[in-house]
Amino acid sequence: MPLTNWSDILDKILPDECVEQVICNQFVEPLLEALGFNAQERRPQFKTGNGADKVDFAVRYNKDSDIFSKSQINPYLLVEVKARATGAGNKINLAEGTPQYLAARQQIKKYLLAPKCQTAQWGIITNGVHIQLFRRHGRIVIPATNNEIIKKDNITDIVTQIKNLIENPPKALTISVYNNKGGVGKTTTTINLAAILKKQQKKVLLVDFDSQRDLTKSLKLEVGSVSLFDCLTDKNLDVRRSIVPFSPIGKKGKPVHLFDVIPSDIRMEQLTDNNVTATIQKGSARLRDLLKNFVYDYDYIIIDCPTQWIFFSQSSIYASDVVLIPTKHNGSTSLYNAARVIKDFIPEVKKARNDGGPMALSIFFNGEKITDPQLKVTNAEIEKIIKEYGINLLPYYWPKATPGNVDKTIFSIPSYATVANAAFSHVPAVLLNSTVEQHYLGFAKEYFLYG
Amino acid sequence: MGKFDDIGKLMYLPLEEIKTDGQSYESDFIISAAAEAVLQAGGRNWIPIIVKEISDNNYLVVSNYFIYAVAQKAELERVWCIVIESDEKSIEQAKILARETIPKVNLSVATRETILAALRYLISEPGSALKGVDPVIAANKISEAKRETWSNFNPITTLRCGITKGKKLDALSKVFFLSQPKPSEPPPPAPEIISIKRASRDEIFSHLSYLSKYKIGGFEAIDPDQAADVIFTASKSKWKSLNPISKLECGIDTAKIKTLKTVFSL
Repeated sequence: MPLTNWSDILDKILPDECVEQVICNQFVEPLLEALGFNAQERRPQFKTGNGADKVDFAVRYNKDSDIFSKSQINPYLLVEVKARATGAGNKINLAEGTPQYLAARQQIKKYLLAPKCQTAQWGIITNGVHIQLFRRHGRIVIPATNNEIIKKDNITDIVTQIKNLIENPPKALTISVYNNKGGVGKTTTTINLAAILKKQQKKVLLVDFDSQRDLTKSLKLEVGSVSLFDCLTDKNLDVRRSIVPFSPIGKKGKPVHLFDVIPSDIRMEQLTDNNVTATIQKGSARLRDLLKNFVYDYDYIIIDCPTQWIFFSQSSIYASDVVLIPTKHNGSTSLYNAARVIKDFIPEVKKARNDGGPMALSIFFNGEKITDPQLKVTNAEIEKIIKEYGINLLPYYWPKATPGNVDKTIFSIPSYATVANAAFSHVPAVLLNSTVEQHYLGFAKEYFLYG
Repeated sequence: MGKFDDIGKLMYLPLEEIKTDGQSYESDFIISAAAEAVLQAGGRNWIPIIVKEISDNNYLVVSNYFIYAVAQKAELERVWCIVIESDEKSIEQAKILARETIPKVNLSVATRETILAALRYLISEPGSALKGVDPVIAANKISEAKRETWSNFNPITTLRCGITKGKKLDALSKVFFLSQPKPSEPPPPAPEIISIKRASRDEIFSHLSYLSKYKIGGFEAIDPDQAADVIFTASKSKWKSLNPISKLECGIDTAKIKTLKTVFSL
């Protein structure tokens, strides 16, 4: 295939081109060609199956006799195209954080989750000025690249990066369960989420990256033949050998494998020692490299990390696609700390990672049942937080809000005595109690599972 | 919606030409204060009443009853109205948008998310009969049940999701309906048997319509209008039974003749 002459292509597009179709023809078609999709593998104005919605392009590699442009089923990648300016001449600015960017991002998410796009794993938004790739995993749509400004000298790199990603799609979604405030049920959430995902036939790996070892202890596990702690410093060790299976005794009296765990090492406490930290090359970025070994094996990798913003939690979030933030409705500190995670910590990591991730998920309540008056107080508190930290925080607290309407529903998992008792029997509560199971199933469907 | 009618238009109509079949239930304070606000604007109501046209110069309020009440209180001579299509669907939609009616979703096909949102709405209503029901659990169980086959909400009581027969189950009909037709009531007694040779075209039609309407013996597939024409015009003098009808190609085959005999004789 001849190299695409991007310089020529970019020169030909007017800086304030206001016709979307021109961007489609002059930029997106060559882009898709360069990504390896020929004309028979593309379909413009693809009907997503959600009302009259149409996405500008859907593409998929042809399989044998199944020609995508003809069959128009099971797309793999969607592209939503914008013009560079409106008809009136105003710039359409797709830079991160602009209303137009947020709207376009919302749009590609909606398309990726539409009935006829269930097989679509990737989405691109572009106007020939900016371009960003998104990845879809179940119900989650996350940035897979930075929102790049297209220039003549970086377009080839951007295309190569996108091509590499879509040709080697990772299987796993890596989740950190984190709140800067303690006692919000991080470990309980991690264990039960893992168990319910397993019940939905997902392959799950848990990582206990907390020196307190709560997760490891509550599942009654010991470090595997290699410790993750050693892997951090010693590059010659095989991190796969740090995995231990969690197989509690099932109803028939035989062990049943539920999920895999990388237990925490008691020596991790030494990491507060400066000399030890200095031996970890790449610092907080090291864990991500280690966990990359597993992204093609598991459906979900869930990391339980400690409360404070220290090496362990920084590493976990750096290694994650998304951050799940448990809060307590009756603890305003946990709500405020969630805002710090979203507003300060995650952007800090995002800047360092330079690939669009990680992304915060909307908060949820973990704990006692909420009474109506309590809920009022909590919502008033959230309103204050949003006032203080900015309106962009709203979707993280009230994800059901839509333009012009604020539905204040926040997902909540009520706590039951069985959840606490389960810790003593070293079995996830969802396996012991069907009510708890239903709550976590609802939780998994709300956040992660499609359909 | 055309040049020669007022549908979709904002009209300034004489209040006396507008009747209402519904009411608003506001306190006198709200009505009086709202009337005052309208009068202060020179009698202009910026939010229109929604009406349909019954006949020339004759309108019926179908939505925004509150504004009608305010206009009455303010003793306006004319009031700003939007004339809408008079079919049930349009009126229903207007009432939904005016928050006078709660929209309903089809529980046979609704997504889990929709069911969850609807249950959350019901439970959050003040004095809700569903208080204590957990919306997440109920939504899980309902969405996983075989809803397409339900003809009523009763199967929900067997799902063990806290929704029991009585007030709780009844509350669901506020937001849900089922696309499956309710089991048809027993059909009314069949019309008296008449002689097919002597029957008028209308009599044949009405007898066939009965079978078709109540879906007796597969007659719902028959077009009574067309079949009545065919049977009426056929030369029947030499018939010795009803069997020749099966050869008229009006959709009534030999299998249906038996059913036909319940309403026709020779």
